Amino acid sequence: MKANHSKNIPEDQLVNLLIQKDKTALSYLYDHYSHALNGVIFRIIGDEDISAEVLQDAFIKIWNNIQSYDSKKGKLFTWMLNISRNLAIDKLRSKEYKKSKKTDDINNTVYLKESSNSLDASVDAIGVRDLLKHLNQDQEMIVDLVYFKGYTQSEIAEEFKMPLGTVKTRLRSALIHLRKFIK
Amino acid sequence: MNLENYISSGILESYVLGELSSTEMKEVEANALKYPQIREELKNIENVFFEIANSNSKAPLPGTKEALLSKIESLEHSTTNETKVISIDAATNKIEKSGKGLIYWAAASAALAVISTVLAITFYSRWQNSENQLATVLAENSRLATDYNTVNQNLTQAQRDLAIVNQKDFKRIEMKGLEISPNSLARIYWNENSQEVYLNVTNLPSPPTGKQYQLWAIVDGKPVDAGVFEPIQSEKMLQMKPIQNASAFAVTLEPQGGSENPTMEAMYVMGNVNEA
Repeated sequence: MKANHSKNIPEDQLVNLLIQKDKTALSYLYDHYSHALNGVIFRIIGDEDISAEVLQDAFIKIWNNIQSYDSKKGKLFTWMLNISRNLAIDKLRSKEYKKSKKTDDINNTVYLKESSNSLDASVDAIGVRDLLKHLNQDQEMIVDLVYFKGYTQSEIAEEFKMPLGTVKTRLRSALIHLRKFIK
Repeated sequence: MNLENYISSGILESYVLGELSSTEMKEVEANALKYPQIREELKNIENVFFEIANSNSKAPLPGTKEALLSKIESLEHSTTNETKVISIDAATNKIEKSGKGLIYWAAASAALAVISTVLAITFYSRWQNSENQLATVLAENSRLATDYNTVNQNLTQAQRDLAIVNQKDFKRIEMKGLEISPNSLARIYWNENSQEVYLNVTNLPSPPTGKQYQLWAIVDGKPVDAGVFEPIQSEKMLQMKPIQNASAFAVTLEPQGGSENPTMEAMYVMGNVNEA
């Protein structure tokens, strides 16, 4: 992960500092997580300027709502990721951004081609290949829809006329498969 | 409950993705409390999602960080009251302008028309007011919700702190003020076995801008970084970095973000482990 790692603050303490509105903690948070979050946002939005806006909105929301983060419910990153992803999806569906981009994605049958185009748009995965490349086309489609396009598994089942059970099994087996490629 | 079936149903993936209703979420959390396999599985799922994001990471446009930080600064200086006053003024101006024009017009037409028009304006202004009131109430509600969460979190924290102080596995180390700050006082609660370190500040002066306090543990004669912190004077326990084999603890004042090595001349408090 690209970031300045000179001081590694444990998550507990980072959250403590953020609750106290410590600006260095916010800076640390940005340095360590902005690339990962922006990558997700960009893959949903597809526009660098709007992604930058959404990224800022996400950090502001994280900053303003840090008290509602509950470490018992999961890791800080997951919480931040869901905030970022939801904001990106809202932006995508908002009146101001009314392109038919989303519908186009659904109609695009050559699925792998679509995702490799977004990779060309200067993703800074130096030495780290897109993890999703390890998946077959069916699995990659589900993970991409769920993770980057914000579909719930039920929405996928409806949209693609698949049994919900199949969607869930496919997602789960994709994620389990990916575990092998993580150190 | 059949654990295997529960896990392979994919409900945990849905949980991490934020797809579940709050009732469904509570159910998952209750099960996670009971079964370590579920906790383990949740961790694994979160990890994969993290790595997917990482492998797709993309640098934001240059200048984004600065824009964010300045937005945060200006958010902290603005007040919602300002906005409220402005919108009420705008509404009143609107009504006055149209009122004058309408009275002129009314002079040349039936009294009934005048009455109905005035009524319309009145209701428009009342609607505007109630819209503003609604906005205020909504904002208040959201503030209350945040406050409730803060209180809840504080309560959980207080309960945890009490547990720490009472546990016999925790050694208490008093760090007393040194020459540059003789009245300073802070306390360390250290569990040798779990390596947990908690810091409680009784008295430390506010650091100047650009500086930050840093906790150190002396391990085998050498200082080890235990984390930076803000000196909140209260009953609060701050969890610091895990430490083993400490013979002493000390706090120095460093540049913001901390240093690799302690500035010995800026040491505020220190305490040895085997005293008291």
